[in-house]
Amino acid sequence: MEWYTLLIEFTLMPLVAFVVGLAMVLMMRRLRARIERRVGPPLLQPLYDVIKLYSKKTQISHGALHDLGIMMVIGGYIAAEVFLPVPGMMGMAREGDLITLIYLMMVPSLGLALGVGQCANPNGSIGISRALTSMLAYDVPFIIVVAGAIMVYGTSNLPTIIEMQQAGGVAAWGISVMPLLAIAGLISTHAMLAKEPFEVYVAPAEIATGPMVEMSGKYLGALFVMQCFQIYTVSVIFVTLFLGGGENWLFFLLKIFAVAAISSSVTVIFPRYKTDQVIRWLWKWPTGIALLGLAMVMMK
Amino acid sequence: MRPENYKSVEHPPSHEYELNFGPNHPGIEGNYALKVKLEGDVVTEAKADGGYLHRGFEKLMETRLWMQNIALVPRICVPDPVPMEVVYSLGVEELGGLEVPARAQWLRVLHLELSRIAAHLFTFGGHAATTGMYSNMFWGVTDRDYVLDLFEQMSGGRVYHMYNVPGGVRRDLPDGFLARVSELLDYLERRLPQYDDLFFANAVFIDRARGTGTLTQEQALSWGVTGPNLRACGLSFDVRRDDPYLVYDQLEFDIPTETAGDALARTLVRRAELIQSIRILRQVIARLPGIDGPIRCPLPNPLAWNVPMGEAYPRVESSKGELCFYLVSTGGDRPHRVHVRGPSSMHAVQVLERLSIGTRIEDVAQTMFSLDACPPEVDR
Repeated sequence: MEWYTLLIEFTLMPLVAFVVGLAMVLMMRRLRARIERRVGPPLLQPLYDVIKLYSKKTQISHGALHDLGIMMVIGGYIAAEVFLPVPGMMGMAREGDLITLIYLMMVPSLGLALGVGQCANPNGSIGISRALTSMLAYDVPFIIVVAGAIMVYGTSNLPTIIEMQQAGGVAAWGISVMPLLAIAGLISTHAMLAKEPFEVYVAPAEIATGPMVEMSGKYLGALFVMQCFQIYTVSVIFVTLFLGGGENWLFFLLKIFAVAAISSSVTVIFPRYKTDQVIRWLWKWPTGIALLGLAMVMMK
Repeated sequence: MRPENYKSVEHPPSHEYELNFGPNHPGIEGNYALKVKLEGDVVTEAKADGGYLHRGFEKLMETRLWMQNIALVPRICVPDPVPMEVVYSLGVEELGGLEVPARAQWLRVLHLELSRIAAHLFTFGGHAATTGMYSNMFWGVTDRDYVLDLFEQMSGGRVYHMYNVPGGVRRDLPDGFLARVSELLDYLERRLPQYDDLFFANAVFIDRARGTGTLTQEQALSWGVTGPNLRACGLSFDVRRDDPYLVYDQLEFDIPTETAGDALARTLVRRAELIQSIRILRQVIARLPGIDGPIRCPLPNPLAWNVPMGEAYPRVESSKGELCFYLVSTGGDRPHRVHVRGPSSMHAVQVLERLSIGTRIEDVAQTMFSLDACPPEVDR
């Protein structure tokens, strides 16, 4: 690959992720509003939110580490996007693999912990401790799912995984070959989004929005952008592993929006669990389903 | 080298810290605060901190004419203002020896039960939001708005109505009003199964609410708990049935109870009460057209009305519990003393403080909202 092609893809892939992420946020907010019997925000509302927050003047800073932590939040996802293959753009996907991606996806959570830790706000600290605890909870089933997928496809290289699924049609899609792992994967990717019933680290009525409590203006804008990247990233990972990736942009977008819509629908109809209930539930159900799925994969 | 006046500062252990729930916090009800001390995530101390809404209602009432106070009393409890108007009017009527016409009494029951429904819908929404169930919050607030539409038609006001006055009510119902109430009741009955699916029978909500903020019947009685919170401990006591006022003794309704005494039991009692309020309203709709007559008894000039000397202590059953006003008249044109005995003073202070201790931080907001306290009533 020519260097300039790589440069263009390095620029375009995070940009596409951000724009599609904004559209996904809008879709989730509109869907939520419909179920809640509201009209919901207008088409460009997520963009207005980002512009408004970034145009605010920052009055106070909690120090260099706080700013660095917020940069890690965005940087981790930007780095992850260039390892996520999309139709027509591979970026670093052929050189990287699932393991690299999982590593990069942990960087934002650690960045958030670093940044919020500097605020010395008890609500923020409790939120971060909850975020890291729930990361421990959803990572267990997710790692089992990833292990099962690697066993099925015989590789952890994402472009190869997509090619194998697309060559065999729907019957070769991960969801057909390893349905139990797909269910566990869907639950654990939903838990990654920290939406209800796993919304423990934001929990407004308990810890006044936790990590966001000391964030305003550009910092809050950064967390909003992180949310866009996060929704996009987990949806693309699920589509890549279980729904045959994107044959073209139309199917790709349809698939990732469908995954986000499932997640959004679940969010609207459940309250949030307590932190211990989150761990218990995630280590019981999706982990159990994932282990069963792994056993079935191993027996084939 | 340390200075002579050096004193070492004692820091609390690192796992202990203080957290303010309110006055600006999504987990607090109204402008109120609960200051908690935590060890890990367990509450070891809790101190209710009111006063953010203090407007001196009781003192203000001593400076206003008997009739003027009608504009003041609904503001003591924003979500459920009607019982305030009614209990104040009952007290003044008792002192002044006024006989309220039958039609006015039925209209008051209609108004009171609509207010109970609106208040319970609001509470369901608020309680659900403390557990992250925002859909139910929007549903509750939206459906409450349909009741507020009726209040607007009835009185001109959506939140504060000033509809009940000493001697009766301000005006009769507009044309077609009872049919619109009936339509709303049909709508609410259709909606209730949807609320069940989303909230009351939601497995995650039940998991969270069961065992949270549990009160025993003995504790409830010794801490002055009344209303749905008391009935959730298994004691079937309701002023409407046990000390009837207006025309409640002519109506058929049950007093729902639960025995667990926790947040779930309190919510289920309110849900069942909503059904009973619908039942009461259906009876009112059926019987009200047959009751003609004035809606207010003749009153003296309100600007020069010297209410005879005496004391009155009327009580009604509001959506929050037993609501009483202690009124003292020295024979003048304004009250000598008014004391508001609202249920929230007990529920939001002594009960909440005690129930919070030993609970985890996740349960504080839910405990408060399940007690359904009304902060302005504490700051009366």
